Amino acid sequence: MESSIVMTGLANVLTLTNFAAIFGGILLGLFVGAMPGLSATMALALLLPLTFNMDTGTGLSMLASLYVGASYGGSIAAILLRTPGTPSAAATVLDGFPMSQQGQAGKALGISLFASFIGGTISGIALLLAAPLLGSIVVEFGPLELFAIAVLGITIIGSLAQGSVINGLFSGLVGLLISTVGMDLTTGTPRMAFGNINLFSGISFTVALIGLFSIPQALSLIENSHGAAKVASRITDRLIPKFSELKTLMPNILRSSGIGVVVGLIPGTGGDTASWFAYNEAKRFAKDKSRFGNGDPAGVAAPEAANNAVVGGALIPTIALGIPGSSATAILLGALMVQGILPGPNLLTDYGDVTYTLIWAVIFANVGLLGVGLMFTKASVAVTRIPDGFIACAIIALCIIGAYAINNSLFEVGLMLGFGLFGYWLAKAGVSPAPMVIGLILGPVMENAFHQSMLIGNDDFRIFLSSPIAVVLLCIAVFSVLQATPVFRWLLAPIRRRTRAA
Amino acid sequence: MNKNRLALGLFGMALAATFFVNAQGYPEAAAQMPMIYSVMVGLLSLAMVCSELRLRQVASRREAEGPVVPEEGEDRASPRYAVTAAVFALAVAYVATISTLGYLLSTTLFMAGALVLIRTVSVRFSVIGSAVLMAVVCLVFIHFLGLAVPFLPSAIS
Repeated sequence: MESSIVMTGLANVLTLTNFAAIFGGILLGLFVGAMPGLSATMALALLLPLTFNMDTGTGLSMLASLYVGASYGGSIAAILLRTPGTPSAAATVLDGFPMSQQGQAGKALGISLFASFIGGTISGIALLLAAPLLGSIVVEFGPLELFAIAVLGITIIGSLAQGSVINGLFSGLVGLLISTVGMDLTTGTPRMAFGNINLFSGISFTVALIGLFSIPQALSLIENSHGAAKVASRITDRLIPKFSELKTLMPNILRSSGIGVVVGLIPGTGGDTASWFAYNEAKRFAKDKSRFGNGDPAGVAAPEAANNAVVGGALIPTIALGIPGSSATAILLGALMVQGILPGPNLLTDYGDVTYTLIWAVIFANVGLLGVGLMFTKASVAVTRIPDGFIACAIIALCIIGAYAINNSLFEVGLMLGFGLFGYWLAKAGVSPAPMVIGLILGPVMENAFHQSMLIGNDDFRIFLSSPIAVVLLCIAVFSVLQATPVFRWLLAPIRRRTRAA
Repeated sequence: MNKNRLALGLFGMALAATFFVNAQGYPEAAAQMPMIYSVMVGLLSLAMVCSELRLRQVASRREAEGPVVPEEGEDRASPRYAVTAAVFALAVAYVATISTLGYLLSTTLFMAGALVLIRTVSVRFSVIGSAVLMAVVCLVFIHFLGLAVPFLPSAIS
């Protein structure tokens, strides 16, 4: 049965329509990633409404491909403009831009492309192998374990998100609070609807997503649009690196890919963490460390392999546990929700064919990235010349039509703008919106699991201690919060003092 | 001190209080999670406000000890907050006028107005870019997705 679902997923992807969707998604991701100021998450949020009318497999293939394309696309601006196109390409600037200044822009882009392809493919294969292993464990999960997983998801993402742990948890809990708006399924009571029928069905996750991730970026682009034209380095050398160069870089690429997969597994960490970690390790293992920061190809290969490897890694907890590992995977989960597929550990069991379609789409997207990247990298340089002011207005216009496309409701478009303004405020306050989006997704799951658990336990909270798995997960949740607070540093201080004295 | 973070903390406390007070009127099963979440949001908001006030205290103590030498760095142009606010207000007006003016006219007016306010985009690029954008939206959302958006003004259609 297991292998038949895997092959069903493969068969779903192997259609002309899905190949076209993968090609389109990679190209779009390449262009979006290449433009500084835009992010893969924003593009995914804007593309999500388009996938409503598509076949589930096609929609997921397109979204996954966009994610993969943007992970590489960020390196184009990093190498040519000295500005990372996406946060995960920040480390690529250090050696990528110096290489372009030395007339090796093509070589840098080629190494980035091949490293991204290898890293992404390895993570896709890791996803294919690991997801069913985890799936066989989580099939035993009941409401107690589901509740514990949801709590763990929120606390890990909240404690590891940018800024302080207070900021991250605040964002996550506001998301959980907002998820209670609407009709309570148990009692039929409308909560926080204020008699407005538009709020009876709650706040659409997609509306909040588009608002929180796209509008703040558009507003930020306007804020900083001072008319200074972006000058990109020219590509004068060949894109395809020599086989001998790739062979020399292979140990670095393989190590960085492993780092990317492992970092992606941890909810709350993403391409930016993985790329810096991989860069530092590449420097540590380098024979001549002085070349780093001055145009060492290893300094381009490491972060790019890692940030593409994060894609598959981040999908492992998303698919196996139903906990989105990042805001981008939260959107992929949202795409499943839009198709009526609820997040949770049952993704692999009850919706195995759709889930494996997504997994195979990630693998094929990475393979497709190589071809599309070789053909269109030079074309994507032209995209970087589009003025920021125009891009900002275009994003706002697309957000409005995208939000309208969800339920044909101008109320929801207004709500989207409200979330957009709130997201802009969060950005100014240094609070990440990612935990809030994850709170919106996990809120209903957490509430249902909580009610079911309390029914099982006859309203006794000690029911959560009756499951060893739930206890372990809740302890990890508490630990993840404590490790980011002064309490942990205070507890470790005597050990650190002893170590220093020794 | 980050004033936005301080204001966000105060907003969080108000939000938590609103949800908590409203939840008291619900049946027990419906009220449980909103009340738990609102208490936690309230506490975290309070922590946020306290941490910002503490930072303010530390900063004013440092200032009292000696003047802070500003770091040398590039001269950065100041953020264009007024333009940003104006474009957002235009976006709100755009949404409000879609049903009366129609999608085509309201989008044209929004793009024209916003690009005039921003002023860093050439007229030629603005016209061509806006036309391409609207063509793509019409093709993808209206033709491909069959989105029922009022295309022309309600007086004409």
